[in-house]
Amino acid sequence: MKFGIASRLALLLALVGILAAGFTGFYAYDASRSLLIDSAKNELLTSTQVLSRRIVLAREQISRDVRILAEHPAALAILQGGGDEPVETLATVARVLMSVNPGYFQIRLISASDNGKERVRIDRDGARLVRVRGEDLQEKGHYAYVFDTLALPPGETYVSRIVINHEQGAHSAVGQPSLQLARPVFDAQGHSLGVAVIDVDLNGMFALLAADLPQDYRLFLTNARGDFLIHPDSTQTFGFDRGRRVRLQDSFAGTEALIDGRVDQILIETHEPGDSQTPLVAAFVCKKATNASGDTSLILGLAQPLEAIVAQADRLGSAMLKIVLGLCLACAVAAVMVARAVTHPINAMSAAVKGFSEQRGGPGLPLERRDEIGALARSFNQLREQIGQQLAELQRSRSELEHLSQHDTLTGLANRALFADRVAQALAAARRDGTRLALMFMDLDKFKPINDRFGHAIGDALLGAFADRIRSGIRESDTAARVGGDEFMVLLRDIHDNEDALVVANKIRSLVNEPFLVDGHTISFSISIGIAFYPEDGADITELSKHADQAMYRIKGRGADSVAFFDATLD
Amino acid sequence: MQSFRSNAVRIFLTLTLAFPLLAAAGTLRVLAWPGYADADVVKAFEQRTGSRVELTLIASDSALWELMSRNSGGDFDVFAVNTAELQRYIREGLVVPVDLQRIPNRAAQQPRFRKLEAIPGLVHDDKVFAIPYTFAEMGLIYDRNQLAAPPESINALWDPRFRGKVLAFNDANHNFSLAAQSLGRATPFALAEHDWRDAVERLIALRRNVLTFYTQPEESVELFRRQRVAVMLANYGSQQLKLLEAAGADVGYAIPREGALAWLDCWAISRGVRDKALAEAWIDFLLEPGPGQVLTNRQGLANTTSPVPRGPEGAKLVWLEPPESIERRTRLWARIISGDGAGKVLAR
Repeated sequence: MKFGIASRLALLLALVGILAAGFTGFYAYDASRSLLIDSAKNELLTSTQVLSRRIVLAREQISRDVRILAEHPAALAILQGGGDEPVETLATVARVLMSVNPGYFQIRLISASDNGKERVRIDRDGARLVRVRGEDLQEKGHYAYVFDTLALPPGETYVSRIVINHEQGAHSAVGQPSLQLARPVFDAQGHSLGVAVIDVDLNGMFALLAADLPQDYRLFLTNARGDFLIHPDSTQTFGFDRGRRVRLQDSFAGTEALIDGRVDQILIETHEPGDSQTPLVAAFVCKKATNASGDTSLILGLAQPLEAIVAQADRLGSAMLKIVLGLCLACAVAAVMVARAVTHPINAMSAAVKGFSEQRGGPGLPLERRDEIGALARSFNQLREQIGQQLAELQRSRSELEHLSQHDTLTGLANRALFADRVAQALAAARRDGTRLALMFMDLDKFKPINDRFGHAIGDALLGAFADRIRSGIRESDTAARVGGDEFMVLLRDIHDNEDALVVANKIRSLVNEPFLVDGHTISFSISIGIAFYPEDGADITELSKHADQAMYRIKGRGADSVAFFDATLD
Repeated sequence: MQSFRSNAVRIFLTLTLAFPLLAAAGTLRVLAWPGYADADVVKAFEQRTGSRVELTLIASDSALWELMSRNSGGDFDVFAVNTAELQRYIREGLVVPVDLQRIPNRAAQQPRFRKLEAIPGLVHDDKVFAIPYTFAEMGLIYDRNQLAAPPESINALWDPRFRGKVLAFNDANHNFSLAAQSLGRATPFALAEHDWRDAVERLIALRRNVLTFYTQPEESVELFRRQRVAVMLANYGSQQLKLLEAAGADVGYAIPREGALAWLDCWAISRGVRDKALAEAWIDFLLEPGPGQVLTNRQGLANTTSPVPRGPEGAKLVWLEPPESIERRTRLWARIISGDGAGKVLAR
């Protein structure tokens, strides 16, 4: 396929299509990718906010439970020395609360007197609940959840900081991250006689709160100063408890503003702590809280590997790539088809023009089309028809001209030139075949007086009528010619003997002897005919003409109206 | 012009090529406590020696031990440790002797820190294993509004007049030492078998008299002010005093007549040291007046070159020594602070 308009057009169209598809695809991918990442970030922030809201709700729920304990009449009765019955009652209530809340480590009633002696205590120990009694009850007055709670006004709940529980004998709680919620127990005079305390298992609580988070989310929790309390890598938590602080602001650049309290939520692009190869998107939300034990704000964070988000974008990208490739292919096919549709009629016309110039039919023109190509085809067809007409006319006038150049205009008989040519051909054929031919020379007798009497027009008409009679007297293969004013010659081909020529000559004479009716005049005249034969009287036209002429003039001298053969002895 | 440009290119190339070499040549891995090597001090050292300092901070003896023993000391070159703690590092062979010839700035130290053999635990087999750097005594901080005169004895912590207004420190080792001092024992670091019951009962009494046991200096300051504390055992010494004064508290400071337990932090060189000369240069540099002033002015910690800034001259300081059994002290203390009675605490 040569690099014609079709290929160029196809290439151009395909290129434009592919570029358009490619650019559209790329920008759509780029825009969708950032939209996707933005939406993933927002989703992350929303999840974090939802989770921090859940923490607040969970805290409120625990606060209600501790209120149930603190305001239970049995609690006051115990602290006022009411004997064993209220102790059993409160222990039962505590047991029920513990069993419905697997996130509770301990429930205790602690008196303000006796150095904060525990009065009622239920501990969780693995799967079972343990009632702690007698010697095992401890003095807790030196813990903040006791002395700070005792100082609280009615209606308020103490919430401790989250620390590792180092209280010996606390069963499951020992060594675990925990926090205490506590409320004072007031007597009728408004003196706080003791406190009801619930120890909460931080990890247990969060396991419930964060149970439905997506698998790849990482959960972080820090206290107000940024110390990690929950971290995907548990060795990073409660660093302060081991004398080496591991803080949010040291692990994630940009979170200082959250610790300083300048913002209460933050969305950052960072990387996995200790692994700069794993980019993360992280959202941190600060839930502010302050109470007697100081700033108990918590900072909650969720992080998701950017990879997971980008993987979605990449799936989108590969889908888009397929669409773009499909479009490119479609563009290429469409381009070829369009190019062919445009160039096909052009090629058809080109073939038509070629066929026209080569006098062949060629393919049809797309005349029926209603577009520019149709118009072009119709104009071209018109041109073609016009040229065809003119050519036909030219052909006709050329053959007319040819006829004219070979025939006598007055009589329509061959002229001298054509006659000479015919004779030459006949002579050649006769020589080849060994046949004979005769050449007649005839002259109208006394034609001049007729001309003088009736005029030239009548004379000419008479010559025409005479020619018609000669023509009717000879065979079709014979040729009659006008070679002078009133001189005519006839070539007779393939004669057997001289008599054949004589018969023809006499036939012509008898035809001429009939009177001519010309323009109302009846005119009679005679003719004289001299005949020479090939091969005996001559070998060429000059000799044969001369001898026929001589034979004719011989009889003309004797009175005309007769026929004479050439006779070498006489002429 | 041409030569200027080619010179500039040459200088640039020299700098870029030489710089990483310099840095690679001297990296000093320092393990220290907050405030011992502030950024400006580190920078001054780096500029002077052309080395690079990698600083790791710890905040407890156990964290220090964990990091130093993890890789047989191979992760650090030089570290700060108190004299009592130093003993187990020497025992485990985690430290190497210091070449005193390379620490010329020792000449400027106070006499009591120059006599290394007089400080328990620094010299073993005539080899010096650490150079004193900073110290703090655990004196008593008191509220001038509640106490007309400075407390004279450590027993102020047990004084029932201050019940619920005393702050003590949550540390098994020091508290048993305090109990021993309170009981009038000759040395607080070696409880005899028959002393344990008394010490435990003494500490239970302390527990009943205190408001609480704190762990962080900031926490102590907050509690001191909010809970109107009268007397506090200042585990962090003058550092806490400085914080309280900065917070506007009207406080006094006293060294009890039994003597204040005092920790003395020294610089020691790890067995895994890569460039011992650089480690010794670091120690020598920190004994200069500049870093010493930073330590005192910024952290409120005493340096070893200036005279003791607070407390009566010649006040009794009891340098910390390894106790008879850290394990036993720790086990018993965990029960005491959890609220158990003496019977349960002393039970097997």
